[in-house]
Amino acid sequence: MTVTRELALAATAGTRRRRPKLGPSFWAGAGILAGILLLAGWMSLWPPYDPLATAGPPMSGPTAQNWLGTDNLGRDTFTRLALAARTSLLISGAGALLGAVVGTTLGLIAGYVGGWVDAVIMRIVDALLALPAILVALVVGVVIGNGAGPLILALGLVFAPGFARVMRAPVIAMRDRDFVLAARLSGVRGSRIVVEHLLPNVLTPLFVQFASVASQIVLIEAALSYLGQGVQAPEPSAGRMISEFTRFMQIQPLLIILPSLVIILLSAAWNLLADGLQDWLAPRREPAFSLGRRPAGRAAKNAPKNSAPKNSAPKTALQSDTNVTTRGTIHTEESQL
Amino acid sequence: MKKPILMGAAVIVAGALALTGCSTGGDTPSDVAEGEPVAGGTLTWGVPAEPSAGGIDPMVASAIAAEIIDSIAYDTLLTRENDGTVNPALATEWTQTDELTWVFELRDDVEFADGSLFDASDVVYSFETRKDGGTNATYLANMESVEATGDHEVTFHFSQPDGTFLDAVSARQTFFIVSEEGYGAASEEERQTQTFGTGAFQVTEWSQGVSVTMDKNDKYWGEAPNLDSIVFELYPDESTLLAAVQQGSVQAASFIDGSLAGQAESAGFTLGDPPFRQNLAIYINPETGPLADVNVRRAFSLALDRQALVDTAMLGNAGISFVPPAGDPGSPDAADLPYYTRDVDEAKKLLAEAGQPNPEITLSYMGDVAQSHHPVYEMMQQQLAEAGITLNLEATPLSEIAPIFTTGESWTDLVAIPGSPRASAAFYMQPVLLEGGVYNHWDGNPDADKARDLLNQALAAPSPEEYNELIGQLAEEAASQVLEVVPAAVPVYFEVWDANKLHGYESDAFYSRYKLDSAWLTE
Repeated sequence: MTVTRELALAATAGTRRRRPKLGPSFWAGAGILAGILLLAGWMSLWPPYDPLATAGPPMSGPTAQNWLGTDNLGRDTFTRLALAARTSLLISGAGALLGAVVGTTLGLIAGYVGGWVDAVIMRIVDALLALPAILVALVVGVVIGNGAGPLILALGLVFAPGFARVMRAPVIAMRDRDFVLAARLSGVRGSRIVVEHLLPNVLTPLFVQFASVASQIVLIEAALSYLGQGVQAPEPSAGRMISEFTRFMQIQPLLIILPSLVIILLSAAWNLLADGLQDWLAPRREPAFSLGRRPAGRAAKNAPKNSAPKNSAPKTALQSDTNVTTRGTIHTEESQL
Repeated sequence: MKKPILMGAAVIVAGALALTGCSTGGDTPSDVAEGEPVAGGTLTWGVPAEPSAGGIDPMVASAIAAEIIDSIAYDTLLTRENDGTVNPALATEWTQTDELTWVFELRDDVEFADGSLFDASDVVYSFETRKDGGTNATYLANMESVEATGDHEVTFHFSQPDGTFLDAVSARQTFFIVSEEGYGAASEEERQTQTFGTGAFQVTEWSQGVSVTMDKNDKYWGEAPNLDSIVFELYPDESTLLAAVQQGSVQAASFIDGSLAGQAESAGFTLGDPPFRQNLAIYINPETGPLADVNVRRAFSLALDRQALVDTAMLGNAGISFVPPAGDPGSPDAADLPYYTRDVDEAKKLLAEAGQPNPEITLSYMGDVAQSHHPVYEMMQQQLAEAGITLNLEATPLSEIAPIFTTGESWTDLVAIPGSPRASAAFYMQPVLLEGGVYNHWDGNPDADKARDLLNQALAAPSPEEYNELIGQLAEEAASQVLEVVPAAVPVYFEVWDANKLHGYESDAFYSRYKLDSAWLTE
């Protein structure tokens, strides 16, 4: 009873092929993101200069005091860029996470439940997918205001349908597989089947989709900020820096080259991460994780209720431990979701 | 109701991320003598905006881009120099026979471009049309009637003395005289796309979104212009305009963004020296919030370092100003006004007296246009923070901010709307203080009582001297009560031109480009 499910599974699986090592794409992407996070942490906790206050002569080039020079108001470009990268990273990460949570939930529900629920959810998803992301983000901005919070909300909702579509397909393919049927016959609740048995098996596309959506969000956030509808002044934002400083590009080209690099770097980092994860997760066999061992007491309590109706399988088998091997062929379409 | 013209409205909206050409450098400034004028040639002038609502109808259009074209195509009764000196134009003499009557003697040798002869009836028609719902009709609020008292004499009758009339009638882009025969018979569309004036050049083609072409008026009453035609080419993105200037695609250009004009200057172009006639006005809503207290408003004003705003935020392309703008003829010296010199300690003291040591104030500004002004607001935020004032900046799209200046819709504590030049000093405070004014949230507020009285007295001043005196007092009072905040003023346009090619040109206070009447081109 003290061994975890993974260990138990590993033991029964015998000689497993080891997962390949994480490739250079992953490390490059993760490295850039970690570097930006570290830099952002440094700038947030111990900034060398106030990002909103004058720290040197206006529009100077790189100096010992201002490593990347200063902007038109004499603010330190290095500090502001690090904070802009932080904001961008936060918005892309949080936006993609929100999209992933909402979209995955919808996709799993649609895929597992099927029927009219699937039809309704997926038609809504289709409709939403037809809307250009930047347009929706602009409209949301107008309705609930600008800034990082609304942007995360808007972009999260814009990208949720993509996640739903990506998640649904593998769930449909898997919902009638033996292990799912076995779990069902064991009286496992639908929600638990989805979270514990289906979700871990569809993580590959989820991770990949997450990172690639985050990369797209970086670009959309930059575009919105460029249009003045994203992160608001005086908060630093790479997109807004480009739009603000285009007029100085002949005087101090660094002012637009550097924020452009930050956007490229961030977007590339997420993409590399997506590639790396895809390579790593592709040949998977077992669930990457589990919600943990199901408490025996709870299992005993839930089982009779779940299996009682329509189910003619012997109760004794269902009431036994979770690891019991179910051999029955009874299949119920009933969902607990 | 006056609609302030947002010169930034049609411009500076971000164009493209693409770089817009590289610096090729212009020609070196000419030190050769100007020489004799040469006739002929087409001048190409790059502009960041084209006429919008109302087209170029001189009675309807209110956009600055339209005013510029109209002031070339149409003439006014009088004109004014940058220093305020009034000169004859279509009128040769003007006399105020009593406080309520003005008599103008008109030229008898003028012909409109459409061939009709200019006489008193055209003047009567022009003024009556304007008073009857045209732009700036409020400038004529006190005018009771205008009548032709001879073939070439008109008499204006007023219901009460009007201190602004001489200013308005001599402002180069205000009371245009149109041909009763041509303009009167034209359809609305024709009025918006053609000109019916006596000016040196008339609009012959307007290709919307591309260019406006003006050709020489052979019937012009003044000295015949040297140029054959002037083409105003539209470059909505000013960085692209700068590239066009540097590549020599245009021989002259006007910029809203002073730093781009400065870059053109460093590439060898001549930068005009136009006066600062456009206030970056910030209007106050004193009805609720911290700014209801005069001491908070004074602390706000005291916490601003206007010189730093001019030098750093505007890169020197601005001037310290109040109402009327610093560049207006005869405006008072803003630096001497109360609460105008930075004093952070005094500001903190006033905030303590008001019982609000750390007030939080929200400023709305147009986030999608007039980008060159944005650093001012960001820098104000820094400066105010030093006095304990938190300034929240709210970038609002032009479309959402527009109801404020069209209908007087309520707004946050402060709203920044670049003003437009007015024909006379009193007209700047009208929308702020008088009933029905779109920026007026001061009705019933005792802080504004004295200023309102002064404004009303100025509007009815019987003589220019008294008018100027009252305007000075009004500025003093408005600054003392902080009825409006003006961080800086900028020119309507920064004009640059290639002095090797365009000769005899210079900028004027009324951005009318009237010097084009006599300018000439060489290769």
